[in-house]
Amino acid sequence: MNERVQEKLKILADAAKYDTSCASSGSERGAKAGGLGNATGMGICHSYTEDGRCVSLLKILLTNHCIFDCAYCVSRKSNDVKRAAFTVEEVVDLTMSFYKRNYIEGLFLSSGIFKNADYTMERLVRIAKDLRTLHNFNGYIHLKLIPGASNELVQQAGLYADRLSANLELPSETSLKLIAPEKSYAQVYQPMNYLKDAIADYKLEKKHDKKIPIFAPAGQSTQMVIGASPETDLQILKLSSELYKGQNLKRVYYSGYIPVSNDSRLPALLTPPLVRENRLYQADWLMRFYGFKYNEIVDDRNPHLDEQYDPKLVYALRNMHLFPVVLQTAPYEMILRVPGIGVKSAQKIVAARRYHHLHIDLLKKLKVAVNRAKYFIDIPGNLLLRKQYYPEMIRQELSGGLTGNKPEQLALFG
Amino acid sequence: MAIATNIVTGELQYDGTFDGLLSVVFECYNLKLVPTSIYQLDAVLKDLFAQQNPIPIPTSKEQAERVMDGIKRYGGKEAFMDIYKTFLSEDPHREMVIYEYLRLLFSAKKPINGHYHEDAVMRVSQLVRQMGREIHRMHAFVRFQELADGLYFAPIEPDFDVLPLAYQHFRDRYAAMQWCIYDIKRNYGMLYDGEKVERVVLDNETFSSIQLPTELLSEKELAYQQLWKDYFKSTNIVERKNLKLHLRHVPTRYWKYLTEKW
Ligand code: SF4
Repeated sequence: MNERVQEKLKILADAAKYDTSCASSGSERGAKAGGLGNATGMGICHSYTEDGRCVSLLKILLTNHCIFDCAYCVSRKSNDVKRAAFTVEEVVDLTMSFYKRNYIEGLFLSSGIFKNADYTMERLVRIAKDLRTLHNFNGYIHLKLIPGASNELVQQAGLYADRLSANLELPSETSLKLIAPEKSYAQVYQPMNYLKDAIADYKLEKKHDKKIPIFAPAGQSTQMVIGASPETDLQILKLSSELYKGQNLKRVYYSGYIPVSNDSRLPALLTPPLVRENRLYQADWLMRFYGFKYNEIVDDRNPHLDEQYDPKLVYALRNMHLFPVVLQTAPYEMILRVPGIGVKSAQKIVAARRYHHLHIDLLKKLKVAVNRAKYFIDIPGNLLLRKQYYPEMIRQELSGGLTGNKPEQLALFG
Repeated sequence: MAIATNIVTGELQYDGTFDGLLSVVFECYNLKLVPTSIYQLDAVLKDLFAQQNPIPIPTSKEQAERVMDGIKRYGGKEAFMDIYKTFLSEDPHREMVIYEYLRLLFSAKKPINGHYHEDAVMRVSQLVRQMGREIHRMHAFVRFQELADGLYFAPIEPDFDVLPLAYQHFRDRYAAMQWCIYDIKRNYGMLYDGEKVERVVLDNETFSSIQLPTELLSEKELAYQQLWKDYFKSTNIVERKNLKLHLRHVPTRYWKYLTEKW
């Protein structure tokens, strides 16, 4: 270990950081005797960057040399940046040393395309294999699938990695062709489809044979860049919904485009579309955990998510006829739709009402955001519930009215 | 000491251990005592309103176990863990909260975790949540430093006494390493020798701060710390800077743990 590694780490971590997916959760790799590490249940964020993103994995590129020229990417061939490449051993050593110090949950390894897809993929697989077989490493490994990689290598990757991801990169094929001319949806869907089937096979076989080696236990995810192309939020969420249902993806990540180049194929943004990105995550969250369909969140008349208010509130305001919800008797699914009530609070409400008549004071103790929920719930003690609310009244009150409060913070709802 | 029929109300005292507190609960049932306060040995003096002579209840392992069995029988393992976490929270009112909770549990004879209208149940659920957060933070923010002899050492000073609940996670994860996590505030630690975890007390002054003195560290330790710091710096995206969000995730009082902030 020396200055060269230090220099490489700076370059190759810097180049990897724009990939925002960092989740290390959802795996089922238990600790093994004599082994190091585990990856079960919720992943842990061991630190947070100054922009508030979770640091849970050592996220680096194997190399930022690349034969492609995708306009949105810092590592594109035509960009004049310093290039570097790790050796297999260097990546293995960094991963092990950071893991032992409890800095990370594991490794997230991606790469520019060096020579060709398989040449690159083969090296990524080798790192995962060495970690697992030579070092008994049971922590989390996320490998990027290089577009166009062969099925044999994808299969091997599944044997050693927890999660794999093939990035769609842009929310439509037309945009992809324009911005990343060497890429195509076909190249991305090919490994994605292969994996989908391989994971399904594995799950089936596991029912009969408990001992078969685990295969990609944390499934696959994908990512797309938002704001570099003209798709609407409706198009994006429809695509995500299809990816969750049709491709069985575990996660879709949205990465607000950060102007890394002044390439003429890209819009001239001054700041990255962070609010939009956050709204997309909120909408995505509603689809995965709150039982919303994409077309309940956006539709032809409202193809874009509201910038000022979160999508759950907007849904409620657009569907005032479904409210107020009578908390004492309403079904759980409906309680989940109340702005200000999260999954945990909804569960607690359902538990508490079995024994007791609910009162608004109890909601406060259960950490419900009462100042938000109060417009939408019927519960004793809710003095604010008027006969009728016009959505505009609520919008105004929540935006802080005359006091000029800032719009709400960027965060997921509790 | 007020005496009404055969119920005695009054202030009780125990030795400050979990078994001690459960013994108090046992005796309350056994002797029909209703406590108005339950004091830890040295805490009586600090309370201006305390009577000067609370009844001392001796600690009995056997009595404590009988209460434990009762908790598990009616409330399940979950209720037991909730009570234990409440105890370790070091909340100044934890004893009465636990007493009250157990009184409710033993009269309901079934789990009471949904009964939030009862103050004790609500308080237990809050303290459990607070403990859960601190345990989670320890899982996340503990940083091992490799010592010259190969032991991985992590000094901590958590807000509550969470080490007895937090170490199992490290046992599972770092089974192939030898490590020690040391609570420098409460002066005890958990040492794992590759086989079993043991509670240890070090009287060594050198382990009294989170950053260990350089001469104790292995040859490569500082170099890896430096690499991690570099990594942390490179992974930041200036265009996205949002310190408010950063601070919500990592309140400043936890920065002392983080190698990347040293
Ligand atoms: S192939 Fe990947 S690394 Fe290469 S330019 Fe495109 S996005 Fe960047």
